Amino acid sequence: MPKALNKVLIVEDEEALLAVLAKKFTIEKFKVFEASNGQAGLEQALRHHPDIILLDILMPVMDGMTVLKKLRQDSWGKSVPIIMLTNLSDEKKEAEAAKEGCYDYFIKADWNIDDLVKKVRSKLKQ
Amino acid sequence: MPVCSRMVSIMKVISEAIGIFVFLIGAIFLISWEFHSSFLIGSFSKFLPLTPDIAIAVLFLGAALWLLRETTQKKWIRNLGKAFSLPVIILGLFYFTVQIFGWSLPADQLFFHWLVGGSAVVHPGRMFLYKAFIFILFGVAILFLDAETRRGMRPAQTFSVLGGFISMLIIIGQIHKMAYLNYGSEVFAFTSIHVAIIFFILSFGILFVHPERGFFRILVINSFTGKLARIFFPITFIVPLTVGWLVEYGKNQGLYNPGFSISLETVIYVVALFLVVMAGVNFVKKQEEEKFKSDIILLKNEGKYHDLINVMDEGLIVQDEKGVISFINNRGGELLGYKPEELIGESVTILFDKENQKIYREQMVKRRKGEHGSYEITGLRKDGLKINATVSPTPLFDEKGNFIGSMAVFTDITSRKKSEIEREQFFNFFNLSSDMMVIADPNGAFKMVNPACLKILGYSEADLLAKPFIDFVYPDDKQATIDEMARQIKIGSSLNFENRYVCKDGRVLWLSWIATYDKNKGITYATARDITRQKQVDSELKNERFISGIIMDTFPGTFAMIRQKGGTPRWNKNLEIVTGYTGEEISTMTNEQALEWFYTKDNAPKVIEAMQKTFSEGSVQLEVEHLINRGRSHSTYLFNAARIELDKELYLVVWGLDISKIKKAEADIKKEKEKVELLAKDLEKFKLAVDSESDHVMITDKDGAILYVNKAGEEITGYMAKEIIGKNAGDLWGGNMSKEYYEKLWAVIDHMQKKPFVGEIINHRKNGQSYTAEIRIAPVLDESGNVQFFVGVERDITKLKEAEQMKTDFISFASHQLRTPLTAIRWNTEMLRDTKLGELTVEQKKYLSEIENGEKRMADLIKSLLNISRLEAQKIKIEPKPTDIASLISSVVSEFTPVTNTRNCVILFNKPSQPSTLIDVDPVLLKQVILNLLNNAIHYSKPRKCKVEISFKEIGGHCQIDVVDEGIGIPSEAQSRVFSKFFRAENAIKVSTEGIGLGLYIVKLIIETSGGKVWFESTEGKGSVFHVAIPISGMKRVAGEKELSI
Repeated sequence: MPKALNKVLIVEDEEALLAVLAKKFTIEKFKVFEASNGQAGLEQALRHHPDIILLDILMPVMDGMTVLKKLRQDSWGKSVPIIMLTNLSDEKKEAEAAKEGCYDYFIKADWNIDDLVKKVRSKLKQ
Repeated sequence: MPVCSRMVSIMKVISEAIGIFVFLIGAIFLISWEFHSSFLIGSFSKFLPLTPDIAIAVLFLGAALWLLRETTQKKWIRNLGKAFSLPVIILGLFYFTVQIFGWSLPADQLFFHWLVGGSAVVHPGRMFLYKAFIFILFGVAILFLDAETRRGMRPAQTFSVLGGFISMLIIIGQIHKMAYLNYGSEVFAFTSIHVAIIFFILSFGILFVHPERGFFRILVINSFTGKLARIFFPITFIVPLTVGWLVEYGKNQGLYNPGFSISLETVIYVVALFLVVMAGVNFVKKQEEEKFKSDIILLKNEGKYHDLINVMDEGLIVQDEKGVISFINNRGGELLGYKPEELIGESVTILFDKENQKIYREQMVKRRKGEHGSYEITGLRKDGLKINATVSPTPLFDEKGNFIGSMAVFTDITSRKKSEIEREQFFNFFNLSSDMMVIADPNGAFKMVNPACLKILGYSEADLLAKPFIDFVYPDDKQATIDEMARQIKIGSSLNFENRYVCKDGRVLWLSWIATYDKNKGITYATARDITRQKQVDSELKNERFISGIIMDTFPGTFAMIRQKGGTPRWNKNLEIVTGYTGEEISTMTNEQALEWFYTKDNAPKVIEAMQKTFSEGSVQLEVEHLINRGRSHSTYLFNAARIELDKELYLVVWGLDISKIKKAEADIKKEKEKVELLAKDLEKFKLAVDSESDHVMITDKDGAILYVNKAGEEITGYMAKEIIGKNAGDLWGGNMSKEYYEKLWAVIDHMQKKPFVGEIINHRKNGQSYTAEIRIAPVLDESGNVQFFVGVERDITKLKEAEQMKTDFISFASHQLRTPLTAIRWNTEMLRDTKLGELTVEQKKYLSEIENGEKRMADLIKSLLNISRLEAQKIKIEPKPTDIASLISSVVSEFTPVTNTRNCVILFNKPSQPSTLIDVDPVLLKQVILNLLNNAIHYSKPRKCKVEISFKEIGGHCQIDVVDEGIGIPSEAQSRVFSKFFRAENAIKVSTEGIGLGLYIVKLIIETSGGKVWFESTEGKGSVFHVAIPISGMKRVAGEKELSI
C-alpha cells in the first residue's frame, strides 16, 4: 500500500505565488490544498486536516494571524504545524505568531522554494 | 495689843446668824399677817404675836445686819443694807412724834390696816415710846455701822448697847412682872417679852459686827486684860439678874417682906461691887509692881541699850503717832547727814521726797494696823543726796492698844543697791548679748557661757561646760587655737583671734575672739562674734573680684574706666595689648594724652563730643578709628560708654570692640547682596526663557516633589501649575509604565548611578489622553555628591511617534509590496530551473540568470532600504553577546567562497595564534559590517590582483578590524562622502554599475550606533584600508525594536 501523500495546505492571496507553490509541492509529491484567503484557508484546514499549513499574513477576508488563532482554538488545529509565509518583516507580527504557536516565520523573498520544500519535509519527518 | 482672832471670827459669824434669824422672824410674821395664817398668830396665843410694824422693822434690821457683815465688800450692797435702816428710823421718829404730841392714833393699825383687816388682835396700850427708842437706836446703829471715830470708838456699838439695855430692862421687868411705867397719868405698857428678846439679841448682833473695834475691843484682846474683861462683863449681867431674881423669889416665897428684899439686894450689890473693886485694884497693883521691876531692869539696860543704839551700824529712828521724830541714834543721823538733835521734833516726812512720802504714808497705815514688815525706801539726806535704805519697823502701842508711834531700824543699801544694779546690768549684758561671752578656766574648760553661746553653737549649757573648749574647735584650727592660748597666757593681755567652731548640728562657723587673761585668777574672759557670714561675704567678694578681673581680662575688647576729672583708674589687659602702651603708662596718662595716643587728630573732636555727651546724657555709642600698636596702625572700633557715679565723682565706663572685620564682612555681604540681586534678575530672565520653552521643563526635590514647572509643562500635561507644585509626576500624569521601568529610572538618576536618564515614556494628560514623551531627567548634586534636585525635560513626541510609526508602517508595507512580485519572480525562475519541468537551452539559462540577478539586486536594494530606515529610526536592536571575533570573521570569509572562486580572489584572514577573548558584540550586525567591507574590498579589486586581507587586533582599548585591499582606491575628492547614503565614487561606478552606495553607510550607522569608530586610508589606484574599532567593553546595547534584515 503506498504511503499516503503528505497533505499540505497553502493559504496565499497572491495568485502567482500560490500557483507556483502549489505546482512545486505537487511535483514534490505532496497532496496540495489551496486557499486564497484566510476564510477559505480555515475551512480547508478544518475539512482536510493537512499535515502542515503554509500561511500568508496579509490576506483579504481574514488575515493569517486570525486564521492562526482560530486554528489553535480547534482541537485538531491546535497541534498542526504552521509556517507563516510572508513578506512582512515585522518583529511584532513574528512574535505574535510565535506566541500563537506557529512553527516558523519565513520571509518569502529570502527563500527558494526548494529550500521551502526541504524545510517542510524535515518538519514532517519529525 | 492683838486680839484673839478666833473669838473675833466666832462673834462675827454669830452676828451674821443673828441677822438672818431676826430677818426670818420678821419675814415669817409678816407673811402670816399677809395670809392671815392662824398658825403663828393663833398658836402663839400664849405669846403676844409681833405686830406687823415690829415684824417689818425686825425684817429690815435683820436683813441689814446680814448685808452689812464684814465680808460684804461691794459698796452698793453695804449701802443697800444701810438704806434698810431708814424705814425703821422713820417709823421710830414717827412713833416718837406721835408720843410727844399725844396723838392717839392706833398707828400700827393705821399703817397696817390692809394687813390687819379686822381679824387682828389689838394689843392694849401704846408701846410707842419703847418702839420709838428701839427703832431709832437700832436704825441709827445700822446706818452708822461702819463709822469709827478718830479715837477708834464705834457709835454703832454705843447705840446698840443702849438698845440692848432698854430691851434688858423690858425683859427683867417682864420677868418681875413689872413692865409698866407711870408717866404722868398714862400707863405705858411695854411690849411683850419676846419682842424685847428679839431686840436684845439684835443688839448683840450689831455689837458683834466689829468686836475688835470700838470699846468692845477690850473684850476680845488677847491678853490678860481681855480675859479679865471677858470674865467680869458677864458677871456684871448675871450677878444682878441672879441676885434680883433670888431676892424677888424669896420675897414671893414670903421669906421676908418687900422692904427687906430691897435692903438685901442693896447689901448684896455693895458686897459684890466691893469684891470686884478689890480684885481689880489688886490686879492693877500687880501690874504696877511688874512694871516697876521691868522699868528698873530697863533702866539698867537702857545704858547698854543706849550704847548699843549709838554704836550699832544701823540707824534707829523712833517716831510718835503723829510722825514726829522722838529719837534717832548717831548712825541714823550720820546716814541721813544730820546731827541727831537736828531731827528730834521734826516730821519724818522731811526725810523723803514727794514720791517716797507716799510710800512712807502707806507704810504708816500698815503700822497703825499693827503690821510689821520691812520695806525699801529712798530717803533724802540733808545735803540733798539720795540714800537707799531698808527699813524694818516696829509699831508701838500703849496699853490701851492705841497706836503711839513706831520704831524703825534702817540700813543704807545705796552701795548695795548700786552693786545690785550693776550686777543686774552685767547679767543683762551677759544674757542678752548676741555675741558669745565665755569665762574659761586655766584647764581650758568653759566655766560660764552666755545664752548667745548656746544659740550660736547649738549646744546646751551642760554640753559646753562638760568638755574642754578645744573639743568644739574645728580640727584644722585646733593647733592654731592651742598656740594662741599659750601665747595669750604668756602675754596676759587680750588677743584677736579667728578660728572655726563646730556646731552641734555639724555646721562650721567662723568666730572672731577677743579675750583677756586674768593672771591672778588664771581665768580667761572672752567674747566671740560669729563672722561666718562675713567670711562668706569676704570670700564671695574675693571671688567676685576675681571673676570680674577674669571678665575684664578675657573680654575680647578693651575696657577702661575714665574719671571725669582725669585719669584712668581701671582698665583691662586688652587695652594695653591693643594700644601698645604699658599698664604704667595707662595708669599715669591724662585724658589729653589718652586722646593723643588712641585717636587721630581728625577723630579727637568726635571722641570729645561723645564723652561729653555721655557725661550729660548717661550713655553713648560711637564708631571710630582707634589707634593701635602705639599709633602705628588703626582699626575700626565700636565703643559703648556709660556714665556712673562713684563716691560723688563721675566716671565713664567704656567697652570697646574691634569691628573692622565685621565692617569688612558687612561690605562683603553688601556685595553678595548685589550679586544675588543680579542673579535674581538673571533668574527672572531664565525663568522667562524656560517659560517660553516649548518643552515641558520641571524641577523637583530629591524625592520627586515638583518645585517648578514651566508653561509648556502645563500645556502638555493639561494640569495647572498650582495643581502640579508639591506633587509627584507619578500622582499626576505618570504611572503608566511598568514597575521595572520606574525602578530603572530611579536607579539611574538616584540610587545607583546619579546620572541623567534618557528615554521614552507614556504619560496621560489631565483629560486622560495618553501621550508619548521623550524624557531627560538629570540629578543636581551638591558638593557632597548627594542629590538636591532633579531637572526634567519632556518633549511630547506623540506626533513624532505617530509620524515615525507611519513611516515604519509605510516602509513595512512598501517593502512587503515590493517583495511580493520579487518573490513571484524568484520562485518562478526557480521553477524554470527545475529540470523536472524540462531542460532549458544554454541561452535560455543565460536569460534566466539575468532575471535572477535582477531579482537579487532588487531584493538586496529593498533589504538595504529597510535596514537603513530602521537604522535611521534607531529601531535596530543591538544585542551584544560575547563573541569570538576570529570565528565570526572566519564564517563571513567562508561565505564569500563562491564569490572568491568566481572572481579568483583570495581573502586572507590573519587569524591570531592565541584564542582571543570574547567581546560583547551583536554578531548579526558585526557580520553585516564585515560582510559589507569584504564585499567592497572584493568588488573594487583589480581583476587580476584580487587580494584582500582581513585582520583584527586589540589596540588602545579597542578591538580593531582592518580590511586591506589592493583595489581601485578612493579618489581624494570623494573620500569625504564615501560614508554617505547612495554615494558611489566615480571610479567605482566605472568598475560596476551595480552597487547602491549603501554598504559603507550601513557600516558607519551600525558601528557608530554601537559605540565604535570607522575610518579608512585610501589611495586612488593603489588600494584602501578600512578600520573598524569596537571598544573592548563591547557594543552599546540598544533596546530597539527590529533586527537587521539580512
